[in-house]
Amino acid sequence: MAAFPYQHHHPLLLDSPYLPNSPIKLPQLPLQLGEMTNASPGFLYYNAPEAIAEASATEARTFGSSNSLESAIMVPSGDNQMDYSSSVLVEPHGGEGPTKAQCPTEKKRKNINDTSPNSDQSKDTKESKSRRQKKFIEDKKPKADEVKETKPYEEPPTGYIHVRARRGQATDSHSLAERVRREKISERMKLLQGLVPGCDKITGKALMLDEIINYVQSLQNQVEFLSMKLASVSPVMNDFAVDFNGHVDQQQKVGSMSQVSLPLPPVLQKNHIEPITFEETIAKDYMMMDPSPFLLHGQGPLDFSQDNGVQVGNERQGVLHPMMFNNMCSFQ
Amino acid sequence: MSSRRSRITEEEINELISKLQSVLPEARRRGASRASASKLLKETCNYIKSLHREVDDLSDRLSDLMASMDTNSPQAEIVRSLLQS
Repeated sequence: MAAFPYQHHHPLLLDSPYLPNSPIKLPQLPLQLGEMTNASPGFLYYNAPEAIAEASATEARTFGSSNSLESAIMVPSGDNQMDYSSSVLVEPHGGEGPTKAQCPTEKKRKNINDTSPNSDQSKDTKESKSRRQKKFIEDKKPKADEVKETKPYEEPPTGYIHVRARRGQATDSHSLAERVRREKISERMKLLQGLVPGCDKITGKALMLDEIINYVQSLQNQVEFLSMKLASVSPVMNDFAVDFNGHVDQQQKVGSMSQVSLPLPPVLQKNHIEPITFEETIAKDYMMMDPSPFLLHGQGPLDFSQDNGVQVGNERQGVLHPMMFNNMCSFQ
Repeated sequence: MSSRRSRITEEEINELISKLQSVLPEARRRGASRASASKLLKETCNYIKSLHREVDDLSDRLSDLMASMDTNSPQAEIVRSLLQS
């Protein structure tokens, strides 16, 4: 990664009078650029993200056009990276776009700052380079690959540029894929930070992960606890409901009956009986009826409250006949 | 950043990632095969969101139950004592 600025802008810098021609001096470029950003038009790209993207697009085109020449160069380095690149290379194409675009300049500046202390001696830079590489690849990559990997740094890794230069960032597949990976991770860490309370105050991935784990576990406990409570409360509620219904059935037959039979029974209307409400009728019936129709009548409400529509109508008529009879008797 | 220090954190982080994976039901179901860290974090995100939803839902149901109850009934007393425990 330390090397990418000069690799990336190599074609541009070729025209620049500041270009050091020996590879040993190349690592000093970032430092110089940091100091003399306005010295040449080429250097401007280090501060303007749009310009970087533009420049890299140009580069990409350039390299794309001279592809046939590069493919020869690309093959050997591709072989070197064969054993681990297959998995790494897939990633950048897929999820890169949105995360990449976010902070090219920021990264660049950081890299420049990182390298500047080391840039006095090219050896130091190289060391930091490989160290960084080690970090990028993490546990995936054995050391042997690392040694090989420094090779593409020495020779211009042109074969890859037309793939990656678009983003204006690293030029070797590993740092690129690795950056994508890390950006993805940090993006999701940020998302998680928003989800986990108190996590935004914590710095460091390890502490954050710890906090996230704790939070997830506490949420799991909470869910378990709440559903336990609900389960223990619900039976109480069910019992209560049953009790309540029983209570109604036993003590409020008249009430439930009046709810069902609010519309006047057609029978009553046909027979020109005074339009009194059913409830009133019942009240009168209770007072005036003989024991036998009362029993019949008393069985009614239960049926009323449980049946619907047509059935209720039929039942009602059946029940109402004696009642009507009684009414007629009593009113006449 | 010294490489020694970064390696220690790396190990720590690897450990934490595995721990995180063991906490997630989805990742656990997948078995020993370890998912990529970013995928795992995404799953964690979704899982936390679903847990939030679940907690909200359960709380709503509980409070609905409470609201539908006669506050002076002995049943409500039982529920209250349950909720306070």
